[in-house]
Amino acid sequence: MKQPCLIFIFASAALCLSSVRVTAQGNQATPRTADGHPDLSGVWNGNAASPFVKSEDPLTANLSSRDGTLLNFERDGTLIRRANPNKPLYKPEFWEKVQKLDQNGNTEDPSFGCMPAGVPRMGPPAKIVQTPTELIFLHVSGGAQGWGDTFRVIPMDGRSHTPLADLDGTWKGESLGHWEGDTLVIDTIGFNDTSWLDIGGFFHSENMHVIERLHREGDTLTWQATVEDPDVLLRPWAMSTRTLKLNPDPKAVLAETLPCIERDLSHLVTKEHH
Amino acid sequence: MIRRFFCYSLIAGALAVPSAHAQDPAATIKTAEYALGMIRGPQRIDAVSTLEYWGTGSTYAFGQSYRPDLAWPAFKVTYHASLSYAVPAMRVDVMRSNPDGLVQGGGGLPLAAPQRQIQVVSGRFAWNESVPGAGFIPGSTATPDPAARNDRLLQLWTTPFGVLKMAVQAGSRAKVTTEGGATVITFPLSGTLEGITVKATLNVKSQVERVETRTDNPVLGDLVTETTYSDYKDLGEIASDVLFPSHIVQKQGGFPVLDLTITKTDPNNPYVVFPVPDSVEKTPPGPAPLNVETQQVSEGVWYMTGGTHHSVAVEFKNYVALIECPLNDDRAVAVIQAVKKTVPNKPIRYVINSHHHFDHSGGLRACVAEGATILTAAENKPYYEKVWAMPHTLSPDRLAKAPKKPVIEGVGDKRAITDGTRTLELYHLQGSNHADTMLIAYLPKEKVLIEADVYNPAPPNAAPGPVSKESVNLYNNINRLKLDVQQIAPLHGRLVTISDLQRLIGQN
Repeated sequence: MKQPCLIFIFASAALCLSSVRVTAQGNQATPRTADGHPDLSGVWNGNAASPFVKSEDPLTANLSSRDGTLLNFERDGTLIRRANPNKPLYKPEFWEKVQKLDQNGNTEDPSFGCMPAGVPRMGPPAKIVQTPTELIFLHVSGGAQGWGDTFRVIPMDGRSHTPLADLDGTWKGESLGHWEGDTLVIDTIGFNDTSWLDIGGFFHSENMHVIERLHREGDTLTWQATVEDPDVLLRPWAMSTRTLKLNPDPKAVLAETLPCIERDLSHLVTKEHH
Repeated sequence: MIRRFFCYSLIAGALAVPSAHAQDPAATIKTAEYALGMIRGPQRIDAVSTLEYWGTGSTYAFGQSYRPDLAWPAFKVTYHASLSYAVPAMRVDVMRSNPDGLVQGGGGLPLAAPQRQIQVVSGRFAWNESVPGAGFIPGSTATPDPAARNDRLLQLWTTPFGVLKMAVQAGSRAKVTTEGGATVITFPLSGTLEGITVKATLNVKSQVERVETRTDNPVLGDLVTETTYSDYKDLGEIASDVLFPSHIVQKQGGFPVLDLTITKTDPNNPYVVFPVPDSVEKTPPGPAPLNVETQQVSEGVWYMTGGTHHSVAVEFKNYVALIECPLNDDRAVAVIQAVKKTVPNKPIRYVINSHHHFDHSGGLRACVAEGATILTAAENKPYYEKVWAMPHTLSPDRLAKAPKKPVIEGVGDKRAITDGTRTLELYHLQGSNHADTMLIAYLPKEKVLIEADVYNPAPPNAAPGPVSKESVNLYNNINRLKLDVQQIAPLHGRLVTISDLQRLIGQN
């Protein structure tokens, strides 16, 4: 199902175009809704791999090719990606499991088989629709990310979580939102244990608890997620912050993602990641 | 489409690989990084952050040879190292077993059973694990080992990738020269390894072929550690084009301490982690404080403990004989001071060295500086004369600061020290596979035997361990020499009686 060339094309375009567009937008005042909260509504670049998304991790900003050709970009990209120092700290009894999952990522990573990314791997939304009582997140997966278009509906009405025992574990869990000052906090429980936190074998248990924080400053939205999973993690994991820019085009639409169909696995003869 | 290819062209232009013949340090280091496959992406970043490698071969017990002229004794090992250059941290997980054939020498040989050793360093902390991640797993043990921190960090930074990363960090302090046609990068380390200079020689492919460092050793002085790396390959199960040597040989004091054939590597395994256990974090950094506890064994005989290695002071009419001056200058000075406090106004005339292993001879230079005559097995005399003449410039000890010609007296099968009121007898311990130079000391009037390494009594309530052939051999020597031993003052462990030894070896 993977379309690796698209990663390269997307990233190349990012290098060539992103600085121009981001600069052109300039800074804006943070708009607010009638109830006084920051207005997060808008199209936020379509997806997390788009030209406007920047990570605080410099490694992920690098296009992978050691010599300017297309020959090695996947191999180099894997090496660079695996060098990311920010990783969840698992209990020692799970270290070997994580390593084996990573080594066999081509067959073990659910997203490689077109399964949903789930929360928090799906990252920040491409579009936010905000009402006083609920938020609607629209997600569009990147060119080579197989999990497809999806959505989240996040109540903001002050309700409490359903008891965990009464929840059927799902990819996105049960999310509830509230404001802490000008920061939107989304609290999610009720996961299945099938999704991964990220590529690299980073699995989790059904008792995972995710806290996302979204904060808007002018035309910039930051998204950060913290994962608590005392069943498997030694300590909570703070994922790297992602920064998104508002699409200034009032007519901007979300591009439709092509359906994910797994076609590659039977042709892979090594464990090299793609 | 036109824009995309224009962009590719820009990237390709920016990625020109530096000349392999460049002689300025930055270009030479970058070329070497390219040669190992470390540099990736249009921004030419060093993409090797972590590394794991697995191998088989031998490790050797440095300073524990059977005779002073022999190589360090070997363990057969399976070896697994996990490294993070970012932390920086390293975990070496080794399964050791006895070598084939006759096992002679110290360092824990022979092993009663295969033994797993897991040594970790992470930033400011060093510790040993019973299992990987010990301290976070119920029932596991993480033992702080702060004194080992710098040695382990040096191992990390003298791996091929580590050397080049440190050379980059050294900046303008890195120099490039040519020696015998080979390119040599020389640079100083910094931080806790300040004072150590690394000399890295590149092969014709600009790969790191040989790394040399000098560190202080109590016996050998400015100790050269030489590591050679050869036959670079991509040994990853997932191909990465990161090259790592498939053969590593490290030598210290001229003999191998490590000889590994690398069978697999994993550059940037995303899951190489080194959490520091609370018990380790709360342990003060640096070596444990020096402590000498003095216990009277009989009139004029004191057992000096308080660390891992003990000494025994014997008072004569006009002087003191000190049995063992172990470990290093600091321990030796602490023991000498304890002797002076216990027996004021009498010089230490003789220091008896049980055997030549470095942990038992590392303090002898301080005793030479004190003016004592060293009594040791005859085979050790030429060895000590040779190694004590070697330079001690990196961390000058007492003898280096105030040079004095060592007075060494070789002991054959027997030597007695007496002043008419007390006699101390020294005997060569025959039949030991631990060290061919082993002396035991005996006080006939007090019926006290002093020995090192061949009988290390466990704590009183500890479960008895396996019977050591060395302990049986000690008992046989006691009988051969017809020594009427009542007490034994071991230089490891605790004061015991002859009955304890008899019970251990089933002779009671």
